[in-house]
Amino acid sequence: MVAAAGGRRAARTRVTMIGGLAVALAAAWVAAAAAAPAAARAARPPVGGLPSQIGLPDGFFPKGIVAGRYPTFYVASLVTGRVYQGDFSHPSRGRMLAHLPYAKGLSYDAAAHVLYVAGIDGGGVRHRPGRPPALIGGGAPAAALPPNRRPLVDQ
Amino acid sequence: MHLPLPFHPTVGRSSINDVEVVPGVGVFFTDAIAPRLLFVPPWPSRATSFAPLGGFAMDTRPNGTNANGLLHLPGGLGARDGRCPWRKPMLLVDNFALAHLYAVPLPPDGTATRVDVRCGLRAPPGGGDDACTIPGEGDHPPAVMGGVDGMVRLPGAPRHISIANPTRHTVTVVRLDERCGRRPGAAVVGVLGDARLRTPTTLAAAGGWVWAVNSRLTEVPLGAAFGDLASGGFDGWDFDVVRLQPLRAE
Repeated sequence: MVAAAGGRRAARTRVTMIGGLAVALAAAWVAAAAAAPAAARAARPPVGGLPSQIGLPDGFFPKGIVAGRYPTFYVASLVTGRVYQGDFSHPSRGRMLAHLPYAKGLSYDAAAHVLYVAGIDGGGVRHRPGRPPALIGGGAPAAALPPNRRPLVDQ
Repeated sequence: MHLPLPFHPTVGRSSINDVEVVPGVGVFFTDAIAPRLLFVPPWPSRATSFAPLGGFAMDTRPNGTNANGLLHLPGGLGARDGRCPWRKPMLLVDNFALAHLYAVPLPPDGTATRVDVRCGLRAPPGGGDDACTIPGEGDHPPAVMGGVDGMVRLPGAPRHISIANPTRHTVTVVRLDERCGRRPGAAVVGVLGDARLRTPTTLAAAGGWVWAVNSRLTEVPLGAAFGDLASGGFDGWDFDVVRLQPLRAE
């Protein structure tokens, strides 16, 4: 067990954030900061051309991972709702793609080059290039992000 | 099997967990608290519909996480016989709490058929219990699987599925049966207990390797809330993705 601050801070549920999904998304899209990954610290020397371990940002609490166009991968954070883009061949390369209310499973549509994010309960978004993310119907479960067309947050 | 967190934050009556693109068809999602899949057609449709999963067993305990991982199997579940019902395109859905696997035909017809998973591991030297048995936890479904989460097909081995077992800190490999039975079948043929695995939740295949992401959720103190985790209280915690050693079928 790692000593941590769990339980010391007042619980702040994210339910209220979901209730204001549109507001939360709008704010998150512009305000999410890309935390510096702990890649260099966590990575071991590459073996066979690929690292054996790739660090993610501290406090990320990942849930889903999916491979994109090689060597890109995406990881979703259950707790923070952030989606991180990494590189299987270069542990130090990474950036935050998005900040959503929740993010759990991921799936990548290779033909359309779109990333789907599951776990946005009670509402969802799809992102169209050049436009703000849009809700896709009551109870819709997903976000679709075009990973390489437009950064969703500043680097 | 429960994780110490509200693992599936829920609003309304669904708890969306995993997602899988089926090319040309749309996108499916698991719902951890209801025996159904959610379906969204390809863009630009905004329709959302539900596909019931008749036959999908549910753990009814509070906070039980049921449908979790989801995997598209365009060639079905490995049966050689082209007439076999398990040969058609399928979704493989797992139940985290019960460690069950289910086959769901594409397009969904309202049914989910449980995959009969048996132990295919060699017995330990000197005999003794089934190699998939864990004392006190029985042997069926194979106890070594524990809770089941994300799944991925092994590169170059379409009948082999790697499954993340968060609470066991392992990854198991099942091999789908070539034989066509009344129910689809599979055998646990490998267990990877890499010391670097820390509550792995999902897997990816790339570069000829399987990669696991470590959630560390089983290390979170009981009572911690999402607010604690998201507000910086766990900033010092490191997380990573690990490349796994090749898992060989036994």
